[in-house]
Amino acid sequence: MKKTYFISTAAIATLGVALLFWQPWQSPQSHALLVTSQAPTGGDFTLEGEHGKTSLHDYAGNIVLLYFGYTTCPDICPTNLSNLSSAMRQLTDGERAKVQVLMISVDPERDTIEKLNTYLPYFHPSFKGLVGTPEQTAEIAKRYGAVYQKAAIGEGALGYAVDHSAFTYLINQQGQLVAQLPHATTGDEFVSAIRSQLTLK
Amino acid sequence: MMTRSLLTSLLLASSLSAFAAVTDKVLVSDGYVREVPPGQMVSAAFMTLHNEDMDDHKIISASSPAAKTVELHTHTHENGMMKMRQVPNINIPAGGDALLKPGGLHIMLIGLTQELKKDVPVYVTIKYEDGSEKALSLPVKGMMPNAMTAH
Repeated sequence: MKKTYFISTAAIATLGVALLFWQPWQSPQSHALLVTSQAPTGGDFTLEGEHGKTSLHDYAGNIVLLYFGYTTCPDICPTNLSNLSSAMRQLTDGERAKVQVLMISVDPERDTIEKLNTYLPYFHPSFKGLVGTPEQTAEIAKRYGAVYQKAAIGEGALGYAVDHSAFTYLINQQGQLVAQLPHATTGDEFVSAIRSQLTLK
Repeated sequence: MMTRSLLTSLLLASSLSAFAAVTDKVLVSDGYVREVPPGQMVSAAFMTLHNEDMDDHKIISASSPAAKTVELHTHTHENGMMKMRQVPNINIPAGGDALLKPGGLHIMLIGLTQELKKDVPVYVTIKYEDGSEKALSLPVKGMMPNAMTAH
């Protein structure tokens, strides 16, 4: 009896220690792009846009707010995009002319550029979508520290959903990644972040 | 004898509590369905449920003529990702609230069968663990905060 008790205590302790060192983001069985502990480097990229090949450097001189999402995203993307929209509408015309919101689809198998450009203007007419091959998307996401993976939902009524990190990446007028803003950042917070970049010279 | 009267009162008590349906003990407020961008085939219903009872109650399912499939869902934040998952039920704690809101618990409307318009209510029926059902007529709310305050 005592022995069993000892063994189970030892087992629990071992489990506790194991949990302490268990780092799910290093687990290899996940299809997710692994979250790395290094700071994301960001950088230039080229994908398919409304008018063909579109690169980040096409927006040099603008503050870019980059988001990784998808058009059948039921809740998370609409929340972020409507907050970004609210920020756009709070900016002055002069400020707004220097800001571009871009969404890279993390569901390149279903999202086409047409779908993205039907979806995004609902939030704000200036928002642009970009789509690439799964490989291109994965490579860019990795550089920005964005992670995503397909997830089966319910009885498959939705086809699938895409679990994804929901940061908005703030890129300065020189094309450098300067901040990642978390999910549900409010319109006011986006405005402050944008203005803090616009006043930097 | 003692045991028997105890049993009788227990039975009586349980039958009394069973007499009132959960629909009479849970109050639903601030319900709405979120408007969707063009081409979007899924939406969600959000609401606050207040349980006035001394027992926990649960929503076990929901249905709506506005969608092919209706599921109970939640969001969790794991490994740096927002994950949406179906849940078997939504618990409304005794004397407490269950908040169905963006980024958290919600009733998913999958495969919309009607266009969601701001002036057309969406009917959603929620079913509790005792089988009782509550039919709700929910307004459609736009996503834009400015648009919401503009009317």
